[in-house]
Amino acid sequence: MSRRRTGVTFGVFVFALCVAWSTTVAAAPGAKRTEAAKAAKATSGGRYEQMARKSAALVAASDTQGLAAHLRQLKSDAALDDAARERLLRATVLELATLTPQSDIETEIRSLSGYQTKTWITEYEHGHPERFPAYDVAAAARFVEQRWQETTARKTAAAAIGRADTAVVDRYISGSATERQGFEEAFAAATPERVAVYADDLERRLTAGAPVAGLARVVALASGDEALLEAVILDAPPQEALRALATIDPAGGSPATLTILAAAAERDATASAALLKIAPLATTDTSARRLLFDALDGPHGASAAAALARGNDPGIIDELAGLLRNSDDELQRRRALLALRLTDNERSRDHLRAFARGPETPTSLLAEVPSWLRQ
Amino acid sequence: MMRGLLATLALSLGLPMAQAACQFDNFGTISNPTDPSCRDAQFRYTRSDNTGNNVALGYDVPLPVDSLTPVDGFRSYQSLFERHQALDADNSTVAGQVVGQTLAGRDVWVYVIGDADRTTADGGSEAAALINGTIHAREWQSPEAVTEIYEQLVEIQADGGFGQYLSENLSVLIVPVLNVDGFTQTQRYPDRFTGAERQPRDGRMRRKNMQSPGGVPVDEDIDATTDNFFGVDLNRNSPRGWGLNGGSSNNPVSLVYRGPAAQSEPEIQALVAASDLAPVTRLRFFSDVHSFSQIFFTPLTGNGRRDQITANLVGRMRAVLGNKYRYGAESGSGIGLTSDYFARTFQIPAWTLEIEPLSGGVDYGGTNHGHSGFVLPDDQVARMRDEVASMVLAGLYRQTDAPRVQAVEIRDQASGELRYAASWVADGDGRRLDVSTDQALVTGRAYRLWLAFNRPMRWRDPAGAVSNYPGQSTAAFPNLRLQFPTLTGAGSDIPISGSGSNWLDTPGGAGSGFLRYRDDALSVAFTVPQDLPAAAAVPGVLVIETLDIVMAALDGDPTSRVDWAGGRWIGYEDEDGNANDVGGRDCKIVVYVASDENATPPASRDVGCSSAQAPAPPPANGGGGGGGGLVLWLLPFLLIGAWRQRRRR
Ligand SMILES: [Zn+2]
Repeated sequence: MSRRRTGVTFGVFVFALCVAWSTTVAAAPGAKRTEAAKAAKATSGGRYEQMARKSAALVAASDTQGLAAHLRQLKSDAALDDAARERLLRATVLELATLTPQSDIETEIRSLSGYQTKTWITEYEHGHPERFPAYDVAAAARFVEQRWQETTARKTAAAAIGRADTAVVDRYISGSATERQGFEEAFAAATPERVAVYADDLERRLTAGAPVAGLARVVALASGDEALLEAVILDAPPQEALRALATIDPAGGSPATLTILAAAAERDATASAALLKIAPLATTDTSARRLLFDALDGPHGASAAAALARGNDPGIIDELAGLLRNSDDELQRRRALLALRLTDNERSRDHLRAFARGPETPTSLLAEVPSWLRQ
Repeated sequence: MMRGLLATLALSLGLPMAQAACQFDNFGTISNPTDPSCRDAQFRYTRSDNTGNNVALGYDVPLPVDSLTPVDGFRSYQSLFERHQALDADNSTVAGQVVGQTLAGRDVWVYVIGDADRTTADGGSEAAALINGTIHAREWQSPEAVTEIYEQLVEIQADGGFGQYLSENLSVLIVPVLNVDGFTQTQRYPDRFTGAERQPRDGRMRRKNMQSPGGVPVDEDIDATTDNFFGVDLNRNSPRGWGLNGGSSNNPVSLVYRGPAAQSEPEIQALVAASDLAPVTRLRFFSDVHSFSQIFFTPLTGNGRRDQITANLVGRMRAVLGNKYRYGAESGSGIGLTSDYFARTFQIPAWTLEIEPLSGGVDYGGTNHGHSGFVLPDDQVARMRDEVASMVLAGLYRQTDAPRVQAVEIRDQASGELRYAASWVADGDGRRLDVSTDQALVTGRAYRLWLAFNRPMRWRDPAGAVSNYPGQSTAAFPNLRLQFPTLTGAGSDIPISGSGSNWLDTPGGAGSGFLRYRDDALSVAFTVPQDLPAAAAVPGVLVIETLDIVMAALDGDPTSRVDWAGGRWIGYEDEDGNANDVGGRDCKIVVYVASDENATPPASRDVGCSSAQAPAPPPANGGGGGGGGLVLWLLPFLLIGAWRQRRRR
């Protein structure tokens, strides 16, 4: 096949300690069939299959002690080459994430978290050869350790939630990122009644500046507590606030939804996202529509313009065209122009064409029109 | 139950099952694309669930956020597009234009950023730069970084200094998203992919456009799997190495399928149309922006001067982040990359910038699983954007022009009387030095020198003190001397000393403030020694030696305008008139000194300057691999962030 000469060579060469990448990158080297074939054979031979079956059986039986011994055997099994060994080690390690650890397996995983990869894979999809571990055993082991810590924290928190223990919030605050993750998972999985008892405390702490934003968001969602959700949107660090905002469904929201979104539209970090969330309401809810029009000449007027455009509503388009013609505020006119540009339909294009022809249209604004109309 | 568990495990352990998954030939191409076990395989990214066909990343799976303003994460295509349009509509300095349609008929936009005229502040023809984003759909780092560059250029365009200089002297053409169809496909399925963990494909992991050999575009439904491996790799579709050097495939299911012909794809045709707007004759900077592997992958064209200029330029940009990004030079004949096209066709500096991570999700504590390098964690995105933009802005400044002297004034310190004034003015295609005042400087008297350049020459820290742009090392004060070549012995070479505080960051023009941009001028006092043997007037050469913000030396002869053609600088000379692409000292300002203020000027000023002080060559690509010097590069970077104190609106 002609592909053999010109074909790409990424992702298939598994070979030990390939040439270190230097500051000058060579073109993709010629294919080395033998190495690829050897590697493929190594990971599908009888010994490989035998050990993989053993891994599967031990995982199915949740036999962590047996798995620890099995991992030790895999590390030193002379009948396996490095590619097969590392593939088996990684796959087996990853399966451990859902098992309950005991000391033997913990020791094994800790040791594997420093595993030095011997089998590298070279990929050419970036346009030059780059070397990656074919089976990153160490990263898998670190993931499993982290997952165990998260699971332990989750179980601790779940028990505390069952006792309605309020000290769990203090433990969340003082915990590591990993522990906080586990705590949040526990709250997310608990019943609304169980988590609701934490809402007032979390809202108070959040507004006082305590680092409880992630937990407060989870509790607000798990308990359906709109006041707490609003507190997260207005007071939490931007990333948490935006995550909370993303959970709001304007269409299915309560009457309070617009109030929350309007408040979020006043906060710099959330304003754009909040205004875009209001977009679907603008075609049916006059107060939502007014809010967007009023925001046009504000600091996030571009987002308000985008939100108005998303409605694709004839009434809104005509009102925007009116602003474009009649407003004496250049910023407001630019925003109306932007909204019409972003409204991809004939009605808005008609307005833009008429505007472009208007004898009183200032050249500064006129310059923005043709690219959209493709005149 | 047990049977299901075993089947699941067997899949991840690669046990031979009744149905094998995707198989790959020796060239990485899926060899069983129509086999249902491969064709229909579906995977889902999760934070920590590895069961079944789930792939745990070890961090939250980023989802697109609807927001025009930047977030700690990735924006949706629609809101990015609205952001681009808003910056265009709000600013007369941005001209957006549709340069083509994707296969599915979506518009491809370029935004030309810079003041409306295409002439420099002193009447020359502006340079242009082209930055292309999101040619590969799954490389979400790219649209965010490229949009950040767009946002920053607009944000700083009226800052009175660096940003205004770029706006007035350079046209930056930005294509934020070239592969719109592919990118929207990845955002439609932000946590799903098909194919195999070894080579994840459609959904979040789509790389190519939506072309299919039958002519009907790939459908957007990830569950309709008959066509999910199709598409053309748009970064293998350009001329200059198309189909050559083993860098692409002629198999439509290949990840690097090059398409039926060079430039066959409408998206690549749109990129060419965008470059025509520069126009290409003005282009001297092209960056294709990808992820990942943290490298400037840079074609060498064999044009020695162009290759050296490119290496130096990339070196300066890499230095911004302490060589965190690597330099990879490719000296073959290309493989059809866009950077091959621009480097080899137009002989301009061009590269494929692969954004972080270096290795994969493992760089952020993730699992290194399923090409996780394409999935940057949300909490790394804002930092990544700022880092890439600060590198690219340094490169844009470098390519806009070379630094040179623009004007000089010397006044008597005590009386304020003007003794010497000169400035470079347009003269035909070049310039001439217009000396409007030319009086003797008198031995024993103190003077104030005002010296202006064509561009901002210094950077300031958040506190307003003159400092270095991150990763650069420019002495705060130039090496200034008054030389008397016709005299010999002691006192024939007077150093003029100062510090960073001599640079002018307030307006006022000649004599008191900066000329056009903050820190384009300095003001410093000096005294002509009493014992200088100048009974008869002697010529005094003001020898000016300095580097600019990114460590470029002065154009030693402003008579010829600096320009770019044929893969090299034109008119960028040292003090002896050698066009060397790196400049040198300025020895063109020649005053005269006498013991009597009414002395007759010397017969000749054509005395040159001594070569005692060779200019410090700007470091080229120092450092080998990346990664080192974390603390050293982080500090200036934090300073730049604080300096900007941005308001995102
Ligand atoms: Zn790419």
